[in-house]
Amino acid sequence: MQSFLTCDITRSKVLSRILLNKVFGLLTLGFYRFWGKTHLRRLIWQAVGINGDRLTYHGTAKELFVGFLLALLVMTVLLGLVGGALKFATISAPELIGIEQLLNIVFLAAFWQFARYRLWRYRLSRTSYRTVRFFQKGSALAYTGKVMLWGIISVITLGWAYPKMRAVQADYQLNNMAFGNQTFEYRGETRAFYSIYWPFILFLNVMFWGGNILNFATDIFTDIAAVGATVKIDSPDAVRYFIGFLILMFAVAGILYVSAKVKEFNYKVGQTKFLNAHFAANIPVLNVLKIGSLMGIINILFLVLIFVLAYVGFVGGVEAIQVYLVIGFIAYFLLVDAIKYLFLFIPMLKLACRSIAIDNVDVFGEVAASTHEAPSYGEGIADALDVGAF
Amino acid sequence: MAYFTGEYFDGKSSRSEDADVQLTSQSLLLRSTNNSPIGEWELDRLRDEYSPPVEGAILLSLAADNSARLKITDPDALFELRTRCPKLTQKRKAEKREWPKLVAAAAGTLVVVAGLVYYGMPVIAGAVAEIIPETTRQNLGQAVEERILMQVTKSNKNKNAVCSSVTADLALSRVISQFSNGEPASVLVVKSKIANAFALPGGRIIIFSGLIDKAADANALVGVLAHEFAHVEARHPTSLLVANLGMAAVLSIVLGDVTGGTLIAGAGQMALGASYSRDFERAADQRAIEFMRQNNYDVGPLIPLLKKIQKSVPEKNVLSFMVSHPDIDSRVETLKAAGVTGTQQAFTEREWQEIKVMCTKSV
Ligand SMILES: [Zn+2]
Repeated sequence: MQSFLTCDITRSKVLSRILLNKVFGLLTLGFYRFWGKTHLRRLIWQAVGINGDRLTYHGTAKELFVGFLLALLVMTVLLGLVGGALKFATISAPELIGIEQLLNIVFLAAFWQFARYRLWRYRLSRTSYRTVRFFQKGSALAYTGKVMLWGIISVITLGWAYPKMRAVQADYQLNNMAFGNQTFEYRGETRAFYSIYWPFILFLNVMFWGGNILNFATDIFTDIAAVGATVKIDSPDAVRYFIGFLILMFAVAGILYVSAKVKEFNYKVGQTKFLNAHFAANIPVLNVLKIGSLMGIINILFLVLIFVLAYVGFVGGVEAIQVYLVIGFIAYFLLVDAIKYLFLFIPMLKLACRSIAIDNVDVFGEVAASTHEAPSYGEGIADALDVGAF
Repeated sequence: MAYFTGEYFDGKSSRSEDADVQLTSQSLLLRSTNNSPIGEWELDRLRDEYSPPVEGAILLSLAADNSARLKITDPDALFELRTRCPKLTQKRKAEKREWPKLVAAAAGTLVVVAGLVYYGMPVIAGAVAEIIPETTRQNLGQAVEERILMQVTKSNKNKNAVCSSVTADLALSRVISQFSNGEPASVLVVKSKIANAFALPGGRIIIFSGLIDKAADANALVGVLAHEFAHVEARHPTSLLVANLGMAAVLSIVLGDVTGGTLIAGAGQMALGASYSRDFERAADQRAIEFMRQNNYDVGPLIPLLKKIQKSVPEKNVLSFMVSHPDIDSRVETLKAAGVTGTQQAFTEREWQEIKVMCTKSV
């Protein structure tokens, strides 16, 4: 096994590209984003190399733009149809209101999954290595059906079917991934997903059932709420402990979730084969947690800064508040993406490049181009819903 | 004349072959290592597929529909090519010519979407307002009412803003119940110099005492009550709220970027919202005339009140009585056209006196 991915990304170029995109985006009422996104992707794709050869991004802003226009039409019409259906259903049967809302959520979730698959399909089909393109085959609709089925079962079983859902997703997605005329092979087992996810699901269940039992048995949450509402000044400790406990629980859940996701990634890569080559990934959970907490701290500092600005404005009177808030808002608008890229996305990309290995690096150098048709327009609904951040 | 080697991809396979390259004044002559010719690539058609350019390499392409590539890493060759290929980092012409089509497609889509939003959103918002449960509307209304009361209390130098008098309260709710046929609705009078009235979600009506001060005739106030109750009956306040939320959603999809789009979305929303509420005002006036006629009250006294308010500067707010300032003349026309709609006074003389002073007494 040897590592075969390189990543020589220039942070200053990414930063200036993001800031440029933001400014142009503002000047063009957001319509520059298709062009901005395309420039940024070229930069990132090109930074990644396999065995010394760089990836190329072939997507164009025009494709994104046309895809977006189509999605806009589809979504507006669907929005109207759903509204009309809602009206009709509730006039004829007012007791259906709860079910309608539930259906709405399911509908949106399905939309989301569909969009994700199309997003992968577009990006992969616009990625080439040594002039040969990647592809995502399969049907976004079939994928959505599978995911929705197991997703709903997961909700009903309080998360215990979630590993199965992830296994189904990985199976469909990876077995439909292709480079040129060769398809990737993935042989993962559902059992492995259970061994990855059980601590996280168990923790959530303990929290859920524990909270419920505690509430029924002692009415403790009503008491705590009462403490928070009325006795705040007399016994601030109770509130403080409760908030501290909540933060702690969120942190534990977050750590369990992130480590499960990292393990899942490593497992999926390890079970994937391309021709006669096997892959391996060992991204260390600790490194990911470090990157994540650094990102968290920077964001908190940023928010604190905005609060300080607001406070300074508050002291200076109403007009000063407005001025400082506008400054804070613009700073946030300009920098939030930059922070995300510089402190989360790029470090993660570099970590992934370092941690993925292959046992036959030459396998990508022998593949014939595929005759498979690439989709003719961009990410459409995924773009409209802002699925996938970059 | 210069000779160097490159890595040639035929575009059909990821397998490459080494190529001998000869740089002439017009073109690159490509030969495979066994000396069989590959092709002649004219310099002014060449583009670097690395975009932005990469330091130690150029990936040459000849045409947009030709996926063959020539990768050059020889430093001298890189220098030669970068100086002698004029269009190395430019876009190909085909991409440039698509602009007009793109602009047309965008304009067309936006027109359709705007049409759907403009004509479709009120229908959807109305439907949603119908299905929002009574309790939710009550909560919404209460929240808005609390905010308004807080503002008024503040501008009253923290004195109690709510005016109350047993006789006046009874009289007001009696008149409302004449319009409402049992539908829940409540009237609250608050102390304020501003002449205004609002309908809030959940059947709440707020009258600013400035309006009562300006009313020369008791039935002018009754007309305002009828108008506000017409909003309540048609769920206008909730519709407006839902329409605002819906438009924010659609606009944030159009503008993508959630942070940047919000600013512009806010502006667009306000413009559209104002136009919806003008429609709502017209409908409320029509319905108010019906209410007045049914109860044999004359709507006429509302006309001088409207005219009087027009002169003072109105407050912009949720479904304000005065929100449609520009077409107040057409509202007056509508009311005039209704003629004399009744002969009775809704309040007794004593009740009207009580209402007039309820705010001076209770503070
Ligand atoms: Zn009105």
